[in-house]
Amino acid sequence: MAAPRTGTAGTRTGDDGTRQQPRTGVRLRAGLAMALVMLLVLGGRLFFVQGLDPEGIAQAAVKNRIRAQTIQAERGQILDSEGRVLAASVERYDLVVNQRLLKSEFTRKNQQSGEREKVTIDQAIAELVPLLDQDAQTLRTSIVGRDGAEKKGYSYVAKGVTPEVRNAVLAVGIPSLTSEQRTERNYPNGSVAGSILGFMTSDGKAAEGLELSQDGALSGTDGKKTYEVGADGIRIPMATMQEVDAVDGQDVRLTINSDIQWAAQEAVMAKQKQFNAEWVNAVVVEVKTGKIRALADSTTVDPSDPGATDPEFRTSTTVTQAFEPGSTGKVATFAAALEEGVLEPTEEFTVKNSYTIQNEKINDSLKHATFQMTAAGIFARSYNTGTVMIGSRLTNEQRYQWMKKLGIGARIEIGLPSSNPGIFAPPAAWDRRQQFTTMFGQAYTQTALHTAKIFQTVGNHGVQIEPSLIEAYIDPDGTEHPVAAATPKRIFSEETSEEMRRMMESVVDAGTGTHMAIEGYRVGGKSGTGQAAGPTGVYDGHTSSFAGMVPIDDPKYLVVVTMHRPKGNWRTWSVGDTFTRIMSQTLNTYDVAPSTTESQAYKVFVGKNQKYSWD
Amino acid sequence: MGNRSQTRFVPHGIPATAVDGATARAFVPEPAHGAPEPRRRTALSVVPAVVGGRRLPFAVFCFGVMLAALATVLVLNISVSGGQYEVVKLRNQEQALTQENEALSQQAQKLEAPQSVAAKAAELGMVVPGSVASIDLDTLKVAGTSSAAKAEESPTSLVADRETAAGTSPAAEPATGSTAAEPATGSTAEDPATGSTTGEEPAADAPARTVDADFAGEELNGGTIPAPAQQQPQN
Repeated sequence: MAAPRTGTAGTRTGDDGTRQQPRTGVRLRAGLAMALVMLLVLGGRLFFVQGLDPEGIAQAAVKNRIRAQTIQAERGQILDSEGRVLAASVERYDLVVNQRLLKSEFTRKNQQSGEREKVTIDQAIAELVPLLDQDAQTLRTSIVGRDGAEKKGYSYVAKGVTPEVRNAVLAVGIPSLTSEQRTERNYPNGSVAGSILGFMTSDGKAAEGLELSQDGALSGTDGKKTYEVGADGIRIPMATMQEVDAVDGQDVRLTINSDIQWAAQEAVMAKQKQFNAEWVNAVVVEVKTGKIRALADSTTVDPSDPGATDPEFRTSTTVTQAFEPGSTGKVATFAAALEEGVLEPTEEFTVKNSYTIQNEKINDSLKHATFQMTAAGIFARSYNTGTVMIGSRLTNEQRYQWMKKLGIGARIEIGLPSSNPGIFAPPAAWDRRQQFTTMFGQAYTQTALHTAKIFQTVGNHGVQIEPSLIEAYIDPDGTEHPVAAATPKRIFSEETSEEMRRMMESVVDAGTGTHMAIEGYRVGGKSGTGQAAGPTGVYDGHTSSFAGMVPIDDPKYLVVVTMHRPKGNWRTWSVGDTFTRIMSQTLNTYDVAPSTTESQAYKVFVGKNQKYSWD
Repeated sequence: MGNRSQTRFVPHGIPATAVDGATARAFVPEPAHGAPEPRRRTALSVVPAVVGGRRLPFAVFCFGVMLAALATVLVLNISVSGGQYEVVKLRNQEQALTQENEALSQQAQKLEAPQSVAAKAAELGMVVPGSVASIDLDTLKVAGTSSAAKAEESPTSLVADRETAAGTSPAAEPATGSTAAEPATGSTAEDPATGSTTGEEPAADAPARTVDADFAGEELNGGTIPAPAQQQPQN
């Protein structure tokens, strides 16, 4: 590169060359110096990058490109016994606006013409009104803010909108209006089975019911994805990436049949209205398996809006509300006496209106003449006096053991939180009157589900099967894991159970349960009207109930209807129509064939005449 | 390079014009008298440049290979990142379809819900059946007696009524405005805020609890369940 100073080339340039030579030299030197300086800078930087902390710098670079993303595990669904969806997770969006960045006018691309157009914020709000189903004033407040108030950087316009609504709203094009995705729980059946399903909090945590108790199975494990992105946010292909797949939650299939659940809820709501009761609930159980087909409450929480329901009714009253069962509790007394061999169903008794034992006077609820009646008749007409005569043939300890065996006083675990075990004191703690009142269902408490469990035992030929609410867990790949059936436990002999069922048939044929008869089917059951104690322990209300089974010779389904604190005259209280309505629906749904055999009810009274008036 | 460029501009065999000193033709001066015979100088002449044999095609070949490699890499890169954009596009499409699918199945589930079926049935004028008799095929006997359905026995819709009264709109819940409409899902039973919403519940919604439906905020004792109070026997 250096210019030749001698030789022919030099002569060729002539005197021009002699003038330019020094300037070229300076230029060259300057260029060289600059190149060297740059080389030095580069070298220094190279040393700094590669020599001092190569790892750290490389990491920082990768960190700049890398994106980590949580892959959310999908929460499992809750299904009814027929596989219909009761609860499912759906994609929802919160619409948020930054009021500070909002201008009174903005431009957007017209969807049809593709040209840019100017839109005022008022125009945009007017467009949002039909989309979000809110009035313009509300929208104005959330988007623009109140006049004079400080602008908010984060203001919710709408919460939990569907993807379609979100897309439509974003198409309006308000700048600074963004959407945030979240999963929300959707309950397509509304409040049907709401008190069983429970609900979630708005930030996606399980709060109540099965959602809470089955959270471990439903929620699954979140996955993670890391990858590198370019400046435009698009993933760099072939760069390092890592993906840990999310494990979706299991579906939970219940034993509940939503058709029966709905019918039962309708029926108990109608009943609650009729007598203005505090609550009415119903339990439907498949006798052979212990599977709960419905747990209905007159006030049911809508899982999408739990705040609208009293906390008391956010879980099913069939498991949370314990009450004194009243005459349905006589089942335990009679069955124990039969099983212990101290009673025959046809044994004759003289039943007066009032009976005094150990200075404790037991009265019947209705004043009646002295009757010569069978033990089955006492059961059918539900006389406390006769029941005490029979019950006192057993020791307190004997009856306590039988009642405990039937499950009274023990928590029934079906997967619902806050299930009530009821109160059942041991005989040592019974006072003088309590030892007799426990014979006819007073002075201890149980839930409607306890009643169902006792009747299931009698109905299933003396073999008790724990009630269950969850039928199976289903993996995301469809593999089913049926919940192991509870081990059947024999409580009563086949004979005792059959005698009890015949006595229950007498109740419906000629006793207190004549309203519970269903055309074409043999029905058996037991009614009960217990006194309900108020907060101070004074009896100030009643609990009226009926538990029945069909067909009574070999029961398939049992229904327990309980009405708590109805208003008005107790003689008019009846849950009979509620029972028949729910039972008919159940028999219909499960195609239970009508009975072809004759009733095997016992005689109620001694002698030919079976028709005596109630007074 | 110099060699090659020279051969390009000066084809061999054609003498260059004598303008350049280096390639000027030899000038033979007249011999001087009495001077010794001068030493003959070999005349300068233009000689054909040494042809590089396979060097030219090889260089082109190398250049070509390099170009081809570059082009291949470029094409590959473009196609891969193009694929990446395609993936993003398809992802979006998948998401849109999933959303649509989800929306439709939700709609189906809503319509399938027993209360909506009952409401639809009532709308169509259907009524609750009377009692049903059945024929036993083995014995050919009729069990039970059937009764006609009554025109006034249309299915009730108490469950649905309650829901419409609660006013839950699936599309959107106003986030601002009345606190009563705000879903209190976030608050647990201990939250006093939920208590106030239940207190404001319309009376038509809960005719059941005339006893404790209307309690004021101060009666709640900071909780949602009213504290036990002395109750008078009512019956």
